[in-house]
Amino acid sequence: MRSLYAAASGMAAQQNRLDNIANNLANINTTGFKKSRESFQDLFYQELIVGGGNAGQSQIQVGGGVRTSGINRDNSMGSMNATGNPYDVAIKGDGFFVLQTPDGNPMYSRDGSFKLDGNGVLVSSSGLKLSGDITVPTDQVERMEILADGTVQAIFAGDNAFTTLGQIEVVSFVNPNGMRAMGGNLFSQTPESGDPQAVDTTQVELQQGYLEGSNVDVAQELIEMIMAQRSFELNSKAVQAADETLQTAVNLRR
Amino acid sequence: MSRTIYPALSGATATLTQMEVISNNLANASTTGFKRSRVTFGLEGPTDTPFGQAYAKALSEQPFLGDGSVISDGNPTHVALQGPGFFVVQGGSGPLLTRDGSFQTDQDGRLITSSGFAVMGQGGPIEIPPGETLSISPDGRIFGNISGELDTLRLVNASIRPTGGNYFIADGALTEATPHVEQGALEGSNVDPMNTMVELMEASRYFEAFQKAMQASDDLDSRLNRLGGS
Repeated sequence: MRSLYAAASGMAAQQNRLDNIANNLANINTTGFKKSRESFQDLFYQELIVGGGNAGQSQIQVGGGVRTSGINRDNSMGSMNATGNPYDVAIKGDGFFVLQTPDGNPMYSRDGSFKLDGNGVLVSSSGLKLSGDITVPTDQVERMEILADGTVQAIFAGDNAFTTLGQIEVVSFVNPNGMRAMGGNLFSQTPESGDPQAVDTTQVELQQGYLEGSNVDVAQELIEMIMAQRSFELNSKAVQAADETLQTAVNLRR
Repeated sequence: MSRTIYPALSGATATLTQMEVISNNLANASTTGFKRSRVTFGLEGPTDTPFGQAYAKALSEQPFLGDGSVISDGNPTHVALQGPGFFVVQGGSGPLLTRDGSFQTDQDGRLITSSGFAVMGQGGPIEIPPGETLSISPDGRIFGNISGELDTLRLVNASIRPTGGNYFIADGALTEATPHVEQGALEGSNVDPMNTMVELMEASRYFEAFQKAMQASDDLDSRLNRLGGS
């Protein structure tokens, strides 16, 4: 009974889809979160009657069902939320902040909720240093500013001009969809994503005092959820029908 | 022995094939660019003699090419087609056709499908220089905001059969097609749940009817066998 397996694959795919929707909804308030969408493909076809080259000749192919072909991240911008915190930075446009992990591999993130560690070094909310080790000596600094191009500058006490403290690095990828989500708002580079490239500063701006919200749209997720649930139900009906057919066949011999 | 049982059996077998196709349609109710299929039946064997037997047989199965609904998602590399026509992609062994426009760029900037096959333009695989913001016109021309017109999507028509992975193999020649191209959207599956459930009910009941016919034929035989005995 191929129908049983095809319908079961449909149920499994919808289950997967629901898992992904639940993850999107769970991250509705996660800074810099990008929602993702599952995509599906039909499975191999078994040829019952092989058609020839000429059109109109009979052919029968029975498909084996469906599988999840990929999960695409939607890299569109989330909403910009003003926080007033001078260490919060949002990226307007494509790009990622570059963070250093203890093992030396860079990680990439859109989450700009930075803070200072015990030595006055700018770190991410999970404590990873920004590339370039930007130190802000808070006891001597009167005012700190982050410019649109990522320059961090400050006015020291008793001074009246800005001194540059460092540069927040922003990079982009040819195929950001190919990056691996590592959890903790972090992404890592993969062969599919390509190498990091410096962004065009005329297209990408940093905005101090803002955080980028999640780009999850609740209404859209709820509609997806309804669709997933109903499709699951439809496939369960096909399982039932296949089961009843089997039963009818079994009952042939009384 | 009664000869009724074999035509009834052929009907039941053909109905099973139909159910398999329906289940596959339902399983792909959320598959991007999926085209539902229908089985057509025919007769086999002599039908013109009084005692001749006709057998039902699933004769062919055709994808129904009606458009799926267009679901907008705002992703600039996603493209939906409306009207007859297919994208051409470079498969492992020759060109494949697809209606699944969930494209992305790879690390070299080539436009690829979700399974990694290059999408074909008029002059081969489509390449997007880095940093370009894409816009795709309704007739399939691709523009970048920096270098202007980049390429044009290759859109064709052909007689097709499905091969899995949202791809179709073309039987025979490809002819140019001019479907409406919509950027930032995907074409959903054209499986209609209502229609498909009715087909499923129909197939289940036919199967039951064939079972009854087989049992009736069996009854007849057992009565015939008892005739001599009692």
